[in-house]
Amino acid sequence: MKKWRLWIVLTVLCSLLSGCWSSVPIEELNMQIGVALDSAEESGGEEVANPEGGSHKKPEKIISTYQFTIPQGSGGAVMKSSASSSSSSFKNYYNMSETSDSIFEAMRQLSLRTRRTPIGHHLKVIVISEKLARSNNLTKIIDFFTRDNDIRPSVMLFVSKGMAKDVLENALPGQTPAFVLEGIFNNRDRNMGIWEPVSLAKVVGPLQGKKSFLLQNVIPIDQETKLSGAGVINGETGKLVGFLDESELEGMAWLTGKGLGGVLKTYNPDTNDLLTYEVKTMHSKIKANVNNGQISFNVKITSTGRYAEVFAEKSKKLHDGIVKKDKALLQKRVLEMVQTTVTKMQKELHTEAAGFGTSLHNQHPAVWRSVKDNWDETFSQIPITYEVNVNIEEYGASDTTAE
Amino acid sequence: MSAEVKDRITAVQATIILANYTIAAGVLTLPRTIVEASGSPDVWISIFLGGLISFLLGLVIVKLSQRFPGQTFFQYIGKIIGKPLGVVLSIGVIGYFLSIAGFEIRSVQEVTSFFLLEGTPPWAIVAAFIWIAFYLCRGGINAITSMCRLIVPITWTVFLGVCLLSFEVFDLNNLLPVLGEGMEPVWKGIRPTILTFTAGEAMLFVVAFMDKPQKAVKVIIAGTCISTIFYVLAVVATIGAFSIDGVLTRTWPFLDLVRSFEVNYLIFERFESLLLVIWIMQIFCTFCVAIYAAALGLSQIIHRSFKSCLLALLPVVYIVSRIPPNVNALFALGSGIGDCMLILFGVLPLPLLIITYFRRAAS
Repeated sequence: MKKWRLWIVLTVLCSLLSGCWSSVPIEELNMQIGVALDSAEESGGEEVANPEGGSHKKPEKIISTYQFTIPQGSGGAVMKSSASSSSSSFKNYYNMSETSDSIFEAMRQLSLRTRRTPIGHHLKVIVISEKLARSNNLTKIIDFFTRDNDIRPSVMLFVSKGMAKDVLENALPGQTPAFVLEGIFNNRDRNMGIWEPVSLAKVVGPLQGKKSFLLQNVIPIDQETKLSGAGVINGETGKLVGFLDESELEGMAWLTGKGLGGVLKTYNPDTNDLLTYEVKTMHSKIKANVNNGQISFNVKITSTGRYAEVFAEKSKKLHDGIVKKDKALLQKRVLEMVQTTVTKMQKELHTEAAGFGTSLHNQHPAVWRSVKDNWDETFSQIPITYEVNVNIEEYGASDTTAE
Repeated sequence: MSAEVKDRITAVQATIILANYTIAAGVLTLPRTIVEASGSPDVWISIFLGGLISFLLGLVIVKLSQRFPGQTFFQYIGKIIGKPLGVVLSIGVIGYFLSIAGFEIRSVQEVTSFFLLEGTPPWAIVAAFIWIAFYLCRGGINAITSMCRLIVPITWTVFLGVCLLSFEVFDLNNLLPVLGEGMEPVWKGIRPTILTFTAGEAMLFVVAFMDKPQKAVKVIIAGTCISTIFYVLAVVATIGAFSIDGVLTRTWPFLDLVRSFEVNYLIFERFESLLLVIWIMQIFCTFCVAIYAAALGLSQIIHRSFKSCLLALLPVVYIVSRIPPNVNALFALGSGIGDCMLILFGVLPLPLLIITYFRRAAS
């Protein structure tokens, strides 16, 4: 009586347990972990075989370089990177480049060269070259990545002075460039030259809302990559307008209070002795004032930290008088850096990416509505005052005194 | 169980059904639809107001149902406005529930085949869904209640957990300034909210199953509060991450929110698959309640057995789910259903209640 039910269950189980519907064995997959996008015009000779008589030439061609992992233990360690076969060390990644004006097409062209299917679930970083970012709206460049279903909006964006693909070539032995770039943000509490990580999710809003923002700049040096300041993306055009160097980026960290910790270095003007302060916390508050239609800003920066390095002829006792003097020196240094950054934004880049607009919007919404369409130009004329308060909380293990 | 209702549920169970029925596919798209309508970050206020309005509409339905204890809408409507009109209205309500079911199942299919099971044919996803729902609904309201109670701790925990984890990408500036553009955007945001709050109509038949129908008002209060909290959390977290400009560019903003962060040093690094799988359960609840309501209505109108009506409706639901040719049409269907809801359950119940009141006063 119940036997037929058993048979149905067995049949169903057989068909269901045989495996997942659209499964692909993992050895068959090529995991994309990094993408570098370069303008094809700036490279001398393309290493990539281009089909002759390419029919589509209209928009700017982009060299897309994809970084894939070579899974350990699948014979991958024996394979060498195709690009730098001269390097003696084995690499656990390899790069493939394709040139097309469509990033999607470039990726699919990889399927003409390798059997394994590229998958985007594990893409970590996208590096965009300076030239490409200067001449194209970023919205277009990242459109494929924000539209795709595999690629997550958590992918980090970088810009690179020079060729972006070089960034993905370089890593210390045993390391993978894309993973290094992703993990380097863990050092944000150690160095203020690292801007906050900016993911795809964090740029779609500003690009759509025409707000300017920063992208970390990464450059290749020898065997490694290095973070070096930040590129400034203008919200109005969506294009890269310029770079902040490392110290200007530190100024930006002070200005926005986004730094998590790092180094503040200055010199005693009398003795030329070095004084280094370790930043433990920093905060900044931008107050917008509107008087008779005149906008002005007041930036209040506070920080706590400790002496990290104090040079002196002989060991100096850090009594309150000296601490006070040092504090004033440090505050002066912060002020200099912040002012340099603001001057650069106002006079050179004509782009405001530090959140002054946001403060004005939040504090005086009506005023903001009247100036937002021409904000970058308006901003370059706005007077800004600063209050910096650095509080040296502890003196390290040396030289303290209870006087 | 065709004519007289035998199953009984408590007030708590009714609340769980109501909350589960309300929270469905809408959460995945609400942040976008609501910002599209209002264009300001103050939409969370709209949700509170929308919840309030939805509660008031539900209250009218509850009051109406309480006048006919132990009877569902399909049974008592004829007594209010006469049999022929009652049948027409009932068919409208059945059609509404079928569209809801079709809409939900299509949303599941679109999201699943885009994010989760690329390459799996749509019919395979939908078929599994429909047949399991059929199996569940055969068990009656108690089976649905048990299932809802079973999934509530799972879905709610995951949902709240995901919202907490999204703090990593949350930026309060995206939600400021509060009321920077006055109340006008807030009013504009209310309509899409109400369309997402499909709560009250479940009370058309749930009250009939309650062992203590006098508690139905509490049920609708609790149910609306729970869903309001869910919607506010989802919208605040999504706008906080993407800003209102960014939300507009995302097709499934809430899913993209979950996709936009990775958590280190936790068992899972990514939560979108988890959320999606669990959200499918949540939508499954809504689907079951909707198709159960439709089948119940049909069986009570044509006086046939509930199970055969249920079976007969399955292909209809499938066809409804296949009607929208693309995602845009699917969203259009969603807002169309919302408009129908406003007419069927926003405008109509009040006159019905008034008629009932006067008839009773006259007799």
